[in-house]
Amino acid sequence: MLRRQSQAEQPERGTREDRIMKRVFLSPTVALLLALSIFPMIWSLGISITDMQRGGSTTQREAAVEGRTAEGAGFLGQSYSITTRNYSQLFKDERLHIAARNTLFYVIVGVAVQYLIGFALAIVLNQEFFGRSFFRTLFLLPMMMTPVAAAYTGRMMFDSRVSPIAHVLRMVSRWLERDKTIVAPWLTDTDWARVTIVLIDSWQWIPFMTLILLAGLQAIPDDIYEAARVDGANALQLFRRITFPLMLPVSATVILIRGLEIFKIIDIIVVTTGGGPGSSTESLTMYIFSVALTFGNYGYAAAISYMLLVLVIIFATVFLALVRLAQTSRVRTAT
Amino acid sequence: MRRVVILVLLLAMLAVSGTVTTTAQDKPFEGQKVVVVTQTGRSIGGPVEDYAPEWEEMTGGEVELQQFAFGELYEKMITSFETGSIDYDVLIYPADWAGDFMAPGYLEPMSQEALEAIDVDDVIPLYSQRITAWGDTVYAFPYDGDSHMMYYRKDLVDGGEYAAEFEEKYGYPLAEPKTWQQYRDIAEFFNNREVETAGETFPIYGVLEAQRRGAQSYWVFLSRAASYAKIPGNPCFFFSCDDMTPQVNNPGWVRALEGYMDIAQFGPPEMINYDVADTRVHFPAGTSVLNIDWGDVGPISINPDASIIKGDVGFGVLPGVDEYWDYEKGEWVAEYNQAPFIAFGGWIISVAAGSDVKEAALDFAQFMARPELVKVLAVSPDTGINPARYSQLEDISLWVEAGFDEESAADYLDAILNTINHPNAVLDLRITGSAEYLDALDVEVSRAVAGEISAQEALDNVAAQWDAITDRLGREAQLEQYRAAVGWEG
Repeated sequence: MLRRQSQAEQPERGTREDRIMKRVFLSPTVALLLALSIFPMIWSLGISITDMQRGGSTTQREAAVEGRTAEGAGFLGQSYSITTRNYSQLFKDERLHIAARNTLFYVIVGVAVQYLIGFALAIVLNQEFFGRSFFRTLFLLPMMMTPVAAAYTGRMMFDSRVSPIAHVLRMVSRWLERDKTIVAPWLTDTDWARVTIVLIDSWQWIPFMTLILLAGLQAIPDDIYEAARVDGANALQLFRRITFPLMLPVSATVILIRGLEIFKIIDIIVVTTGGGPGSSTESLTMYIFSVALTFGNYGYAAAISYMLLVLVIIFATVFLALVRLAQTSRVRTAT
Repeated sequence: MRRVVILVLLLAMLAVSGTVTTTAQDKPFEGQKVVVVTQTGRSIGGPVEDYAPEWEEMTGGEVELQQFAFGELYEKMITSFETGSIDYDVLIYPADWAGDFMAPGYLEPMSQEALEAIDVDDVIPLYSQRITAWGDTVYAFPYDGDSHMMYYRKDLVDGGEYAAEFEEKYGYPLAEPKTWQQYRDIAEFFNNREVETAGETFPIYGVLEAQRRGAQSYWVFLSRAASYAKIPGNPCFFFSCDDMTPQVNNPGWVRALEGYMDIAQFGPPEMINYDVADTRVHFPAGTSVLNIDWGDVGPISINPDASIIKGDVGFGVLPGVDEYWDYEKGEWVAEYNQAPFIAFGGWIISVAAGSDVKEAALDFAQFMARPELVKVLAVSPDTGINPARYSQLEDISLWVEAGFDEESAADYLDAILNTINHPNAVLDLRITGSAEYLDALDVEVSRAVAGEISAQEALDNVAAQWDAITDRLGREAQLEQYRAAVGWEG
């Protein structure tokens, strides 16, 4: 059976000098990548299995009290002991588990909301109507803001008493002739607060979804739609049979990008709730930040970072597998 | 002719060198940039913005002010030290970070000469000897004197139209609350009641307390816990000085947290997300009867741009309790106990030991901490500077000139003096890892207030985390630091 040679198996083309020059030109990039990306990752992996912390390891600090110096060996000669404590702590740390649950909520609900609304807006903006360019620009504005500014805007909008939304709720209460004004505890109730964080994040990032999905929609040739219309397809069928399947690769890309971004959410939470009420909105990144920079517990922070990395890899792998599955079943249905 | 030219040239050179010498003497820090770091906003950082140009004009130096949100400030400072980048020359920071900044030697020790330059004898010993020092070495200039106190609407509470109704309901006269129970009763009585404020009648809340997580609210809880769980004569409040056993989940602390959770019902629904920055806007706007805060609210309450209750504010030491928990005996003691909390301890000014412009930095730090300036700052609203000197606390005319009426000024200064001179006052936690200990407390208290867990569960979690932190940092090392910080003598 004939088999295509993989890229790795194909002989390198060009003369020996060409190949050397190629390596010479590539070497600065490789060196930079090693220095700025690979080395810190390996270093932090090393740290994650030590008791490295601010002010010296436990052994060093106890030795200092007794007026002696701790042994100088340990991890990379830095007097830190090798330990599995950080990884065993991952299973016992309730605050970490809550932060992980919150983060998964942001990723799943956030991406779903942003994708659905983003897609709907992209479809609307793909139509011909008066002022389309103006609205396209208008919808993109939130994305141009810094997340901190977006978070402050959100904090003002979702204040339960003094905000435009609260004002509307007061008007609705009066219109409904209710004795008590409707007050929505946007940022003061544990369940509402998580949802409010998603809404603020969505407000800022739906334009990103819209932008990419709109570009995808514009790349679909009109003649496919025309052919389908000739065959008698209605609008819903056009969407189900043509638009959605053809947009699947673009959709997968934006969902993956936003999913990975939301895993790292921190700024909006810091500004709006500080992780509260209680522990209802704290994200993994926020917790890692506290463990590393407030508590100075570098070993444990590195271990949590690796846990986050594993979570992200699982998310990306499962998602891409699902996309592949959807594409395969579509091809089978078509044939 | 040639001689004349040489003579003229020599004279010209002398004149120029003279000018240069004079300039160098007049402007000793010409060309040097001092980077100052502190929190964002007008509070604490504002005076640096206002007065730095004066110092620049005098010395020729340049001041660059870098400000960060309170929640980020610690990380910025400690990262600068730990990485050795020394991004800041002068640091204005909370005194309870001393364990992390002073103990490792990141700060420049203050010489006796430098301390005399800021008239250190005028500073109340609590601030000059304990808050600014680590062991026997002083590493900082006192800038601000901080302790928590209680504010109340005296136009409503001190007698008046509500006295009879209150006494009938609660069985004792309406007056400044002396216990947390009375504080609660007053909050309950006035909550949602329509009262007259600055000529207008509108409903007010019973209380305003910071309860936001990741802000400064755990100090408000600690202010309540102190009287429930501080044993008179025993300085060890957070931990046992025998073996660093956390006391945070003993029955006294738990009762205090239950009270802190309970009081939320008499405040605005958003109070769970209020920091002191929020309560300082709402209390002077006449929206509540009671408030717990640092001394800042005093000057804010007389600022016509921010307050409609000028002259209507009463000032008091934090309330006490009718019985407190004695962890040594393991029982409740039925005696009145008051334990004012020296929350935070105040903002202090230090110079980084690794600064390239140490001399200029020290000069600027002295300039900001000098008695003439902090005297003015303490009576000005929004500076965040509270009195820490005898000259500020004993000179009532200073406060009257700033806008207080004489009675309010005396009341305000009495409350501060009675707090910092109280024999049972509690100092804030000042040991290595205090930020982590207090963060653990902050998170669990916040969970309890949000209704996620009970008070006992929350404080049991804190105790377990405090034990883990202590073990990680070294129990013996931590115990030694804690004993030194509270002045335990065995």
